[in-house]
Amino acid sequence: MASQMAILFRTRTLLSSKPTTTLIKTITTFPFLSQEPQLVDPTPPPSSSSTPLPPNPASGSPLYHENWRSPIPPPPSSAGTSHALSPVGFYNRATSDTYDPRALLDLFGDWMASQQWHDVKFLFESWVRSLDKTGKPNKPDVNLFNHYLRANLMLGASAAELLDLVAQMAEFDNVAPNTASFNLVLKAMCQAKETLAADKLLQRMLQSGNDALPDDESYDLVIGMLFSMGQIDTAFKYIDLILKSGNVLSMKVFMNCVGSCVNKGRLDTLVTIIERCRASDQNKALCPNWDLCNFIVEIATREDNSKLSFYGLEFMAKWIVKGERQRPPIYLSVDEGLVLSALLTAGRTYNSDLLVASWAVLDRSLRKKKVPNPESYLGKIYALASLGNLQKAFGTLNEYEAAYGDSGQEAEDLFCPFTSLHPLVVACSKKGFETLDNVYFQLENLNRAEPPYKSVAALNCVILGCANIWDLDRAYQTFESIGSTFGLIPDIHSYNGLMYAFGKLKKTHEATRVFEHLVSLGLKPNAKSYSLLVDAHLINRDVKSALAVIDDMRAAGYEPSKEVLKKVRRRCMREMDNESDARVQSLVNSLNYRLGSENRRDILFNLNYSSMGYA
Amino acid sequence: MKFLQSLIAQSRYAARAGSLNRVSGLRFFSVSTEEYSKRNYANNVAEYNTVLGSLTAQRRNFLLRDVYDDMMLDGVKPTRDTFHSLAVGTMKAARMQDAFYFADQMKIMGLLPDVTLYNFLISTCGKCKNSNKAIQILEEMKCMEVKPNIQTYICLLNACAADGRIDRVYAIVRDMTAAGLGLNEFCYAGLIVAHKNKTPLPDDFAAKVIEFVERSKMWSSVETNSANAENVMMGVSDEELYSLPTAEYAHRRGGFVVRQFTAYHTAFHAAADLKNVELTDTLLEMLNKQGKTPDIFILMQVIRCYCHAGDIERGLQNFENHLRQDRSVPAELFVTLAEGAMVGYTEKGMQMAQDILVRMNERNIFLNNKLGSELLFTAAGEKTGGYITANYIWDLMQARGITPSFPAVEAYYQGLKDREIPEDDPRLVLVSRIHKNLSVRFGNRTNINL
Repeated sequence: MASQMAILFRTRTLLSSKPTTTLIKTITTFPFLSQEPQLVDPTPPPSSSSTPLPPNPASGSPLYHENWRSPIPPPPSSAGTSHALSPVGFYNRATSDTYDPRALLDLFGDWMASQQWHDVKFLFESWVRSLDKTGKPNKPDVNLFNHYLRANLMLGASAAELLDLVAQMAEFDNVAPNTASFNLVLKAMCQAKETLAADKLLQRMLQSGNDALPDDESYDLVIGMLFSMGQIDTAFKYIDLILKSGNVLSMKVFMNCVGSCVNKGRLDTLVTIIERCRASDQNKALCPNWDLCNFIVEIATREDNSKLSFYGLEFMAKWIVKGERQRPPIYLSVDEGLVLSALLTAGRTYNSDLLVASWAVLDRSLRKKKVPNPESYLGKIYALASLGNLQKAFGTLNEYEAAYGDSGQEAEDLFCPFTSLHPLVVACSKKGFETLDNVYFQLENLNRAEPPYKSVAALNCVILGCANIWDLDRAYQTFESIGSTFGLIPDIHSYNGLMYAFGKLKKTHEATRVFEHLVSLGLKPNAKSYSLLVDAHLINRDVKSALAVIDDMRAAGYEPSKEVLKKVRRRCMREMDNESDARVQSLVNSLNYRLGSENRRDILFNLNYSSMGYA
Repeated sequence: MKFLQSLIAQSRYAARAGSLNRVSGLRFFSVSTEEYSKRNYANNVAEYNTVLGSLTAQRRNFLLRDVYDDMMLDGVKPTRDTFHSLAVGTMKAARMQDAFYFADQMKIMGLLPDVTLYNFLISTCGKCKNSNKAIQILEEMKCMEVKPNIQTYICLLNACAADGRIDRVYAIVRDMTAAGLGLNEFCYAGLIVAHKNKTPLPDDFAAKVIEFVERSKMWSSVETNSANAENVMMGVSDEELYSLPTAEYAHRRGGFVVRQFTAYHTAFHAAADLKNVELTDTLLEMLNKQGKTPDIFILMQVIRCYCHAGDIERGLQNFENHLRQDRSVPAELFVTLAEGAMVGYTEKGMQMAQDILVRMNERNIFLNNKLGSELLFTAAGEKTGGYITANYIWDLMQARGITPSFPAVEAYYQGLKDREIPEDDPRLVLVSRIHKNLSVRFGNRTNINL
């Protein structure tokens, strides 16, 4: 150590003296450089000659002395001062290189911070051509070589050149490239966007020993490049390798992967990757950013991929919790329309987990400051109905009524069993009268519970369900029980359901009387009431009465829909009632409708059916 | 008839004049009874079921929805049989929107779809190449507690195969194995279709096909027979249910389609679509090694493969070999060779096509509307040349009073106009008139207010 410090002092003295005699230094440096090749030339002979016989190193030393003598003649010809300086500098430099590979590493570290890439490169190349104190050539280890590679990389060397340098490592004994070496080459390949070369290099790393196995950075570099170049299949292959080998998937790569899968429509692949990330300890914390989560859920619900929707919402829930935990808190909310899409996807794919997650996320987003929109409640009812969970569906209907039950006449469609609550009606009729009876008895039991659950909307669903299965008796009994058993007052939807039940079975007179009854009670018929009455008359093949109802409908301020007019026209056609057909046509023209042609349907009139054969 | 028409005219005049009211009324009523019964072609559910079955048999499945609407207009309650007929019709015509509409209506009326109806829905999805929807139906079956049977899995396998989803196909194979079901020939047909439809085409496609054809004979005879009595009685063949390429010919007799060659049919069809002559030759060699003779469908695919690969001579040679065996020669075989000869519209090919049709005519084998329309449409694609083959096809059809389909007539008409013939040429005048008539009936798609 003391000798090293002494050497350092001498070096500093030399450096300090340089500025004062710059011109002389330059002159001195040139012959100094010229001496180096002469030194390198005799290097191989001593090593080769020293191997067979021990005395040969001794003979090597004399060779060294001869080298020492050869530069003597030029210095005497120059000034005496330069002569004195020249041997001192030469000696010190050789000594410092020879003594300290570690010192060289430290020096490289300093230069790395200063980004003196040229110096690092030059010194390394000089050093490997110098001799150490034992007279043998200097041998770098892999760390020194990696510094050299880094310098070349920063100086703009191409990947091919770096690969050549890595190949040169084999020329030194016991120096093999490790993961860091290959990562440096991969960086060059990434800059040049050479996906094929990077792929092959990664394969080579995988086949090498433990020291050169790819690490997280290797995969990050290659996968990032593959995604940017649009080669997502190869990228997925390496992601598969990462997850299999227990490496860590970086957030950047994960985001790239999510973006690519969603954009290319590879939702199943994305689901698989997310599932495997969650299953491994290293990667289970991965989470796309908020915008990407929204995008995931949007695409997943569009494609009815319930698993991916679930994961997207779960990621969003994580962000919400994280935001709330911060100081000051950040309040993130999921768009209610997006949650509604997820609810509908849950209903279409029969996924109760997605349903629960959707509603939980919505509940968290609203923070008790606002009730969900009616559409969200209806979406949840739809999902529960399609899952066959009638008990929870009616529970949701109860919440829905508590939130919007007193909306009044303006929002009567909110609880219409023909439109809004249609999924619930279908679910009640799942197995015909059997399910309807179960639902009715459950409602009866709830009516007697504490606190009692009374709902005209629920009973309206039962009435319409009975009508849908052509069961007039059950519909009528349920309608009567609204007042007698439940103590409630039927609303317009109850009467509409009853009219529908009568109409389907050609009991037109009874349907008309129901209509007159509700009018006499002061209830205002809606467009559906008139449409149902028109249908009842059409089923009874009574076009004139149907047209009379349409006139009443228009007098009341409603307009018949195209479907209603199409049905009336069809009935006129089949009844050969040309006069009424003309009236319908003038009505259509006044309403500015276009009903289209009946040519295709009329084919039915002229076909020969096999039943005629039997007849 | 003329007497009745004149009487109606007189009665209308008399009605306006105010005299003879009773007599004209009676006459009108007697005439309208027949028309009235035509317009009310069904009155109860049994008659409506008959109408639906008849429409499907007549291949007028596009009218199913209209009949259903008339049913609702009459207040007739559909039964489960009604919905089965509707499902079969929509499946055969691959009308996916109608199929799901009828399924929804069924649920609204409290009729729980059974496994047979779900199989029809999955098959419809397969025909429309929508495997996502097919998977969704399977989820619905689980939710509705409807247990899938072997037909369900095979329908699902073929639906995913039509979409080229090999990953899903193998997942279904695993599910079948877990359920204790073996793979029958329809499963192997599905596997072949899946590999054919996968994009990009697998490199080992030919090897896979040969492997599947070999494997399809190796399962034990105790495997469940997938035949379903209801399907048989409703005229639904397994080929139709699983959307195999032989579905169109499954009902033909006379050795047109040999059932035991199911995997071969699919393999030959795939080879022809991909113009893979080596695969076709290998498959033929396998058949010969087993001492089997190709059926008509296989022969059609072989000829099609050679012609589409550009080797018309070899196609003709196969055709001649078949003729020498003194077996039945359906029109489809002639048409396949003629159509193949027209590939590329070479002068030699067009001449060969015409020669083939002449020989067909000499054997008293004639074109029907479908075959003739397809041939005419293909021949009309000839841009240069004398248009001789197209003219000959047109004459063949006119001689038997057959009017080709509108697309074929339109293509032929355009071809005639592109050629330098006088405006008053009798052929051009005739084609022009027929084109105008068909255009009024089919070509105009804008709505007309009555």
